[in-house]
Amino acid sequence: MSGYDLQQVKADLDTIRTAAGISRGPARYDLLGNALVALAGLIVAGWTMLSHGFWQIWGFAAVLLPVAYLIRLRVRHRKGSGGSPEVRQEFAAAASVLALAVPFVAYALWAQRMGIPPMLVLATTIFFVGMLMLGGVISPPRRLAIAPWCLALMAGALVIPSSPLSPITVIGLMLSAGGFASACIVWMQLRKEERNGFSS
Amino acid sequence: MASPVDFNGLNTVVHGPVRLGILTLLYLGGPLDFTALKKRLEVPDGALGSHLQKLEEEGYVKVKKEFVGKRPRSTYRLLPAGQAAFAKHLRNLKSIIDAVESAPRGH
Repeated sequence: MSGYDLQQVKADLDTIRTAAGISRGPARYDLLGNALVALAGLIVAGWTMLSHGFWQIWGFAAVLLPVAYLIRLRVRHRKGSGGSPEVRQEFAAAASVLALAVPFVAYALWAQRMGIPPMLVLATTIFFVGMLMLGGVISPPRRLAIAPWCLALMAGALVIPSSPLSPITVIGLMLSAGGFASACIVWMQLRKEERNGFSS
Repeated sequence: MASPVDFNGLNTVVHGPVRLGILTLLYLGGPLDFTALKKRLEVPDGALGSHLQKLEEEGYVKVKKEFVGKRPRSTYRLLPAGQAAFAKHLRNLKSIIDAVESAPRGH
């Protein structure tokens, strides 16, 4: 056998798929990633119901679970295949979400100047993030699994200002609902692919 | 033990993320200029240039250099030899997948 092994065949297929703009189907790590976010959301919501005041914010430590999983996945991917362009682009797209922090800070500063309550700033920001994500569902390649995230974020944002629950609890429930529903959709898509004889 | 899968016979000029990416884009999208290829493949100028040069030397692509206003533009087009090499590479990949799929499993 030459040095050309199966891993390279996969890398070639990934290259062709990326250059041709063919969407990658759902993968098992999408399922686990969403499930971990759902679990983190549940922990956040549960913690805020048990704790009070400043301590509530510590519930967000649970978010480290999916973050750690993402980092582990990235490291494993780099070691494994040397980084296929498609997966590298996915990670880059996920990292680019951090760029939203810049307009958000600008918006928060502007809102503070205009005397808009911080709760409304938080709610509108989350709503707009949900709206932005809706683009991924509507435009090709249509990612149906993102839809629950859009709904959870937009609905949760509208609930935050008027809810008797703390905003952190609502955010936790939002993460939980979005992650769980998205994981269910990915699971169904994977099942369908397995039935059709494909699996990732 | 001999492998039931034959990995030989694959074109090493076509193989590799940049060169294969170039061929895929030119095969599917027709002639493209250097900037378009760079944006689609997300590679630095130097790397893209050297891979394009290799493909040109092999007779797989042809470059057309012109000026648009005062700016130079290099447009690359896939030649019949490049089309054939890309199509053959696809067939080879497919045959490897078929061979792996039909090979006896170890469990």
